[in-house]
Amino acid sequence: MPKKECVAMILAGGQGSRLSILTKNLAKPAVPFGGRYRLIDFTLSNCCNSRIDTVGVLTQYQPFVLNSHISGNRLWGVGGQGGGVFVLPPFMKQEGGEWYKGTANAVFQNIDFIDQFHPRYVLVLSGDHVYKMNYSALLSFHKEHTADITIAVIPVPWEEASRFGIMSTDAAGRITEFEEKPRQPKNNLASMGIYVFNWPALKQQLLADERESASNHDFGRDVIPRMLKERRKLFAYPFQGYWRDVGTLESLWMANMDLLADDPPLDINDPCWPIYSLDPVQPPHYVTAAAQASRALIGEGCLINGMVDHSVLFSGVQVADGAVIANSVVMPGAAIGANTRVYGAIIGADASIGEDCEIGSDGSEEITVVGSGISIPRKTIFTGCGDDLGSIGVADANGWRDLRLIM
Amino acid sequence: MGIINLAGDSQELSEITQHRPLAAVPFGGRYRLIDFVLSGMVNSGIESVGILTPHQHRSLVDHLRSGADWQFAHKKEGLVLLPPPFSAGDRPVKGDIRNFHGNLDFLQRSSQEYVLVAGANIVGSMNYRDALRFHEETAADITFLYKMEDHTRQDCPNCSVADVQPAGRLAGIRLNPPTLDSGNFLLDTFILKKKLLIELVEGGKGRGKPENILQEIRDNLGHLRARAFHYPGYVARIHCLPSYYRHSLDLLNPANWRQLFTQTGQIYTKVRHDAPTRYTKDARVANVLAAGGCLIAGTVENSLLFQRVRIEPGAQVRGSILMTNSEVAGNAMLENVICDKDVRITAGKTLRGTVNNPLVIKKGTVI
Repeated sequence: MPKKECVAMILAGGQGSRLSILTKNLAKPAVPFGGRYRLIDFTLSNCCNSRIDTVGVLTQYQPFVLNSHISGNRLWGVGGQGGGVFVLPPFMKQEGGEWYKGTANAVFQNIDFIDQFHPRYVLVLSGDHVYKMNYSALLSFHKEHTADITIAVIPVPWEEASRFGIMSTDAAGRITEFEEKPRQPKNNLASMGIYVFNWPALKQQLLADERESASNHDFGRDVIPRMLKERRKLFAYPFQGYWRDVGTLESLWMANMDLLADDPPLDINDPCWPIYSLDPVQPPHYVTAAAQASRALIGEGCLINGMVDHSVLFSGVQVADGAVIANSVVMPGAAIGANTRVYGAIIGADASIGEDCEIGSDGSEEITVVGSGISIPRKTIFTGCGDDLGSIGVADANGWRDLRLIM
Repeated sequence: MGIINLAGDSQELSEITQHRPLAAVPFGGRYRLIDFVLSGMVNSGIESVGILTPHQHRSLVDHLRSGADWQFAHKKEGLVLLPPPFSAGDRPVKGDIRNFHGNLDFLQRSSQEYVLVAGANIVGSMNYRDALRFHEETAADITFLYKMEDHTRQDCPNCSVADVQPAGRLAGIRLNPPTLDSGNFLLDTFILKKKLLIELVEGGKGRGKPENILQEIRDNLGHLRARAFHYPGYVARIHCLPSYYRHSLDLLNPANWRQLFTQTGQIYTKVRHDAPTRYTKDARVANVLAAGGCLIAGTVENSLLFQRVRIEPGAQVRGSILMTNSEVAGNAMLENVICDKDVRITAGKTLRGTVNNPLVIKKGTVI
């Protein structure tokens, strides 16, 4: 194997249980986003655009969609020369094997994979964040400060600080304190879950962490605090720009809506920093004479007969006559029936919604979610989320009936 | 095996073909003309395709690369570009026979028995399987594909017709006749045994005349068991600017859109990585086909937008085709206009063509 200066390891095994039915059959990094992408495309494209050509993707939970998404795109293999994108599920060794027990353990189990490339640095990334970042600038920062670890940080609103790993630094940017999800945050510099390690130092830490029976084998909870205690050189790399960890339905919906602003905070159409994805091989979308589209992102292959406002439509979505879609995200291949109204909803891939339905309600705070592949019969009124069901009912000739059976 | 013959292309679409061969002309919002015939071959199970290129082939090479976007890269024989032979002096060789002849080894090396020869000026979701079955069942030496159309409604005479007798017997072909008396238009697509194609090419080359394979076939038709197969699906023949414009706007008819894009198989093209198209709060669109990466902030009606087109607030675009990267600034008005790639229309300008004679703006022009 050729020698590589830096190998990236993307943590992509998470379930994303707070995304509810959207992650029933796929891992969180495979959740569709932004009318064309899956979450992991942002991290993989950042690698590609930062000229990091050797990437391991650590998968565990429901990996099939993610695997085919990654291996279907030749483009990730930029640079060639023995690099590429490698999907790394847990595997059996001579002395047995086990699931990835935590983020650090996932990398620990792949020490041999990393060692093949004899890297000086290992970049640890999350596969479920939405952002654009030049990792080579981060790497240069790390080298300039001769750090053992560099952690990318971003200021977050104080009231949200207790959801993150919070850092305190000295004037030179060296980390003096690190608290994972503090109740009383002393600072608002949050870890983005993006780390550059010197590989020999990380390897030593991973081996030590593995022997620690009390450890959760997690970077944020175990490895970073221990390295800080050992007075290693930890630096914080301040990131400026748009960054979202879309861990909840609300944040996933909100981040999609962010793309619809007049001047979006994240430009996904920048030719200098393309976001690559698997091409759906679809024709241009078609907006009929009776249709309307405003404040919208519309993917290829869509057929729009109705009205679309302030919404994100992925490829191959069909919107029938008289339908209205507002403040919503409609994932690939979903079909919306005639005169159906969809408000403030996330409609899963290939879901099919009949005529004259009302999905979500105008002005409601709560996001309505329809799982992928679900068919909703005509004249259904539905709000809430598929797993807590919310208020579901079907009005037909026989009066109201419960929809529980079709979920 | 398939041969896409671009060597004899004489059809011109005014400024649009000034810098590119017909096969590389953008069509349908995200495609080049060659994508349709190439995808048709892929979707019909043809795994080996040679493309006889014209002299000016940089844009084609750039578009096709390894052929991987058409699923060729992993197949045994794959996609091969067959450039023309060198000619003495600066003038390109006339006709396509010499081009066929210069690449005979490609034919000879192939393990396939039949060759499908097609031009790139046919737009359709092509399926050649039925035509090949017809060819085998009628034990034909050569089978031409044709489409029946109303010949009194033709845009220009730049097309060829077939004399079709009962049971699909092909009695003769007329190449670019001055007047049209029948509507059996040849789709410049034919099937024959590889062995016969080699004989025809060598025969034609030996006499030095004629210059084109179709002329050679016409002259030999009397000795051959020739058949004509009526192609049942949607096809559009692009042979002049009015036909290009008319067939482009015809895609705005949902029936055509459906037939072309959702019926037989997928239409492959070079993969680009544009974001989904964004509509702002001021966007007003009706009857529009739009590819990825566009920004629409103005009014667009009855038009086709290729990738990364920008329509700024207050701009009005009607009955027009805007190719990749074109920009229309605020309060500009376009009607029946074809903007080639990278055209920029600055604020307040008004450009008008007519339905029969659209105004073509050359690639890269700023107005």
